[in-house]
Amino acid sequence: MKILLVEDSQSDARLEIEFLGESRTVDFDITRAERLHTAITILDRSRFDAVLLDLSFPHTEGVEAVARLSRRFPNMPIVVLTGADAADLAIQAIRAGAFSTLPKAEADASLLARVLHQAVERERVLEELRRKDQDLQAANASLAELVEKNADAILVLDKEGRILFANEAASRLFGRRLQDLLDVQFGLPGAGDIVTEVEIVRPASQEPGYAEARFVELIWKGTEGYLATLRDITERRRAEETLKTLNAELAEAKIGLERAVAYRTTELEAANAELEAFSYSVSHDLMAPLRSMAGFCQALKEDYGNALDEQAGDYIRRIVAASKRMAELIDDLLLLSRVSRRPLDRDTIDLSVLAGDVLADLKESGSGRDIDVAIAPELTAIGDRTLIRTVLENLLGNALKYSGERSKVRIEVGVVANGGSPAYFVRDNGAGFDMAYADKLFKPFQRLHLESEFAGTGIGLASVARIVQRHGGSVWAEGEPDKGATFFFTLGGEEGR
Amino acid sequence: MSDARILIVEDSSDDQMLILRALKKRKLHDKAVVARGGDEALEYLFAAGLHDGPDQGSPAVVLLDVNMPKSNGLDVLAKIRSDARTRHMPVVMFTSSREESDVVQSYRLGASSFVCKPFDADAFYDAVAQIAQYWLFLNEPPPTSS
Repeated sequence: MKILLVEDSQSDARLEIEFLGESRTVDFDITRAERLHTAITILDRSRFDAVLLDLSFPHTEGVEAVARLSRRFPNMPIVVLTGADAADLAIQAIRAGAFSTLPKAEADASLLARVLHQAVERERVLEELRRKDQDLQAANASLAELVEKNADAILVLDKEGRILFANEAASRLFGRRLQDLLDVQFGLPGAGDIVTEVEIVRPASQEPGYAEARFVELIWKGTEGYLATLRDITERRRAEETLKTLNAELAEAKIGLERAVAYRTTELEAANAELEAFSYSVSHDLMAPLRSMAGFCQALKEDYGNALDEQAGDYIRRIVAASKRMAELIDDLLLLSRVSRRPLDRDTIDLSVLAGDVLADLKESGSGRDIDVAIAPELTAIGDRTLIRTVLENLLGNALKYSGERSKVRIEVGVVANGGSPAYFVRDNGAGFDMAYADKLFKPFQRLHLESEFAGTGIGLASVARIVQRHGGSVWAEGEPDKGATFFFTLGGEEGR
Repeated sequence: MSDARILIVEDSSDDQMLILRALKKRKLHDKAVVARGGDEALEYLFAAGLHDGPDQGSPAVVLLDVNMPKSNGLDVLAKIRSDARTRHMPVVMFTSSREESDVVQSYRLGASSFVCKPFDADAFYDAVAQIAQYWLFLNEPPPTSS
């Protein structure tokens, strides 16, 4: 234990060193300074455990020396030796920072050693306390930092809902200085409410907003209260409300749309029913009188044939022919109407086989001409079998009809690549047509040939176009007069499936 | 079967004439009874007596037009099939209509046959004659009051 002895008396110093040397419990290492300023110089240079300061002689600096030492070395234990009957000095010395005082006369070896030992020990304890206090303060500062820097507003409320503490985020949330928040009546959550929403005035815009508040019970400085954390959820609430509004609008729009669709569907169904009724009455009401005309012409010829001259016979023939032609027109119109309203029943069709069947039927009903037929094998398509058969009947029927004048008729059925979807074609080497009129081909009642050249109503290709359209495909033709014609059609590719 | 009759139900006087003319060609016109519409046909069949001449029993066949005012052919067919006295009576639908729905409806209601009136005069005569021949002479009629 290193002791600095401040003693101006040589003899006293020797005595005191001797005393301390007798101690068996502590090993004292003593350095002596005669004057206070020497002592300060020594203390500045090296570490000592305690200072033993002799103030027993009136000429010394007295209690001021204690004060100076204590100021300069605040953690240094100072033990003061006084003269006899120096109670006042003793008290002043303690006030000035001494650990203890001893009358010099009473200071025997063991007392001196014990007091010095106690002084050093106390300082050790104090030092430890100071260190612990520093640790505690550091920990406190960290905790305070956590609370202060938290993005959520943090409030501590007493049991009545008054604000006891608020952090910076709370100051920002409410737009008030911290000290203005303290003691403000904030209010408390309802019973059992852990998370709730509170209305706030947003400081930036002065507009109303919402904060989500969470409450937990806590003990604050010994009394029960609440810890409240608040977060501004105005933007989230707005987004939610916007979403809600949008959803409602969407639902309304959907209902409106559904109503419109239902209305349109009803309208369409009515229109379809009307069309149905119309074609029904066309088939019956127009056909019946035509049949009567033809029938009574026949009766006229049979019953009065002898009374009529050749001219009259010709007139009757013309009436019959005209009514027959009108009947064909009506039939074709009905076909066109049927292909327009018949529901599509899509299926995979072997076009090669179907074309073969159709051609066989047509050849059977036609003249036994020499026909060279080339149908590409394994032509498959997806479409309504009945309607596609009608397409082939028309295209192959035309091919045969317009090849009537050829001695060697050649009909070809095949497929060519056409972008995404295959284009099927029917080609003949017949009368052909002038490409200038190509756009008229598929319009109802449009014909490119005289009735006397080739019979027909001009409905067949219109029906073909309608069927192909309904499949989502397209139809077109290429031709040259007296060289032949090729009719192409697609069935809508992928979306046709 | 000499008194077997054919009941022609036809609202069009033209078609009545053409049908009778067809029958006359085969000397079958005296077998014909004409009802000028659905209601008249029903009266003939169920309230007999409004027609000239004695009731000579059920006809061997009813030649029934479809499209007629008031009770149409399908109504008449339904009534014939729903009455015990006429349930099995041969009924041939004879019409200008080629509507699929008419064909389907007729068979669903129990028509014996469905024939479209041919447009061509000769074909028309031929059709009427064949129907009459078949149902009057070839077909074995259902037992009476079945």
